[in-house]
Amino acid sequence: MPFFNIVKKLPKNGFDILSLCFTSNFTISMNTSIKLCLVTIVLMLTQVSTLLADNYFKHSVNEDTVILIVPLFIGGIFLFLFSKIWFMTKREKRHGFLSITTHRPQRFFPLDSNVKNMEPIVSALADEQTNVYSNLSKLTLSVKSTGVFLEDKNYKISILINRRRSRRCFLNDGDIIDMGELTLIYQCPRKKNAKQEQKTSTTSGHLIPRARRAHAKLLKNCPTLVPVDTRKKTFYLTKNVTHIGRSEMNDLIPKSKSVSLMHSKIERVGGRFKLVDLNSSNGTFVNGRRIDSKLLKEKDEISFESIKYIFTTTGRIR
Amino acid sequence: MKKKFFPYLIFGIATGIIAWACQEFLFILIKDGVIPSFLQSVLSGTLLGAIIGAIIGRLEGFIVYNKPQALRGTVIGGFFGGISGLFSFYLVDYIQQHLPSMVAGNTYYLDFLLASRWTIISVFIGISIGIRDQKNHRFARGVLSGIISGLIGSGLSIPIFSEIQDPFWARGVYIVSFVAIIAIVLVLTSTFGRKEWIKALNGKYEGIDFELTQDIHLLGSQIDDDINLSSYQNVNRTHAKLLKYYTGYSLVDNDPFGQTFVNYRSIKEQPLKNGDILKIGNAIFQYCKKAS
Repeated sequence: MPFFNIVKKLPKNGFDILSLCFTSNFTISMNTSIKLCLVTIVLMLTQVSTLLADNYFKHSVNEDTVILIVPLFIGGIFLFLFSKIWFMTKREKRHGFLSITTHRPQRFFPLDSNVKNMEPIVSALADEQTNVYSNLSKLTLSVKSTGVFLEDKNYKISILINRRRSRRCFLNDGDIIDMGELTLIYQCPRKKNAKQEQKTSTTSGHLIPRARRAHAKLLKNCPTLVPVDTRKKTFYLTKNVTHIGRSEMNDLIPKSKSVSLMHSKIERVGGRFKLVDLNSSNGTFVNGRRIDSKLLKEKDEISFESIKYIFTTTGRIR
Repeated sequence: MKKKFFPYLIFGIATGIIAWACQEFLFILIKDGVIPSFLQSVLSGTLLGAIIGAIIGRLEGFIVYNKPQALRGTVIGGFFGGISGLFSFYLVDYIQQHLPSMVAGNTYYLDFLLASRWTIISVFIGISIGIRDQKNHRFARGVLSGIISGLIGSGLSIPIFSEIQDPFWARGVYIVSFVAIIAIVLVLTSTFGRKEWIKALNGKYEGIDFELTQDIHLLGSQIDDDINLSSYQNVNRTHAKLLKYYTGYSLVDNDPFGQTFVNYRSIKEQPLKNGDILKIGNAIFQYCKKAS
């Protein structure tokens, strides 16, 4: 981008210089500063004789030093790039708690297997002024090789884990714990749990849903999308909103070029399912008719150009 | 910015070495007769100022992959640095030539005069940083850091130039130490006068503070976004926006999948308060506000 385009983009009014200190509206803009500089350069050119003065930056160059210039230049650029890489590389995470309370300095507490309560952690990380509204001896920690298990044995629950009230929790990397005015983040070098979660979350729609714990029953009659082409996998509508499209953020990803990046979505509305088109270029069809939004019925045929699914509430069509 | 001094020191040393090498190359051209010799000091001043200003102005955008800010920083920093170098070197020459009675009596006075031009260069670089960000407190911070680093740097020039006899090495040592001082002072004054910022808690930017100054900040994986999150998973192009209101900032969801959270709850628009945790895709930030 040429220089003067950038100059034009800056606001013409400029901005107050040190308005924190001075109340007057003394402003400077980019155009006026350029004009001032040009005037000074012209004034300088009128008196060329001043350029004959002598100082450190006018000594003649030794011929030996000529060899050093190119390696110095290349070395400088390499050092610059190296320092950025070094700046950005993360060190290995240690196992412990980091206090991230605002307006307080960050401090780290490494965890051992000897730690049973939250008492030593809070005494190390918090100041005397911060209030922690709980009995710390009843907040038990059990440190194992796989991770940390945190349990609150107070009568009233006094801690928030990921901003939600919970009595017992197995801590993952990056979990945030609130205890009164103190906020901590748990850091752990291992990331096994996180990886497993990602794997299950990406393919959840194509797996058979598990038994729900509250009812202790298997979900037999799960609403599904059964493909007409039998080689493809069936899709189970477990979420409240499932997105359909070609980009990777969607739940159901049909691999066809006629499908838009964000094609359509299926919402659960009062026990029934509603198919909504998201301004797709080729359109979504139900029973051969192009629709904007429609409540789905049993054995409706949904099609995105070439790809066809059949919607069922029971999970069986054949 | 991260509050780590050692990487910034190396950034400063690297820029100093680059500027030094370019300047020595210019001197060789002058010795061969390509450029007339009476322009030597003025041209070296402009070149030094332009290179130092351009790289220092680029630094902050270069670190956090903010391309527009980096480009603006190079152009404005290079322009102001060059102008300041030309102006300061010329001024010193002018005083030496036309007002010899001021300098003749005392050698310390001459040293002081020669040292003062570095203060002018560093103050102009601070001004260029302020103009890049278009904010009053940024401007004040730039000027302050420029004055501090200029005073330290110009004070340092007297012992270095009197101790080291070989002009090549004297120039090199001084330029490198001068730029290193500027870089360190910029880190030290980076928290001066800031009101709202978000602190990254995981991933690539862990520990970096993004200061919020504009009316709109775009968060996403696109190149043009103000806070570029392309290294995180589940982040769309222009995923969310931070809008400024009278009381503070509020987070606005911009992606269709509902992957923007405040305090682990999915939101459409939510005004933020101190200590809130923003989750955008897989990136986690903490919103901080200056204590009133």
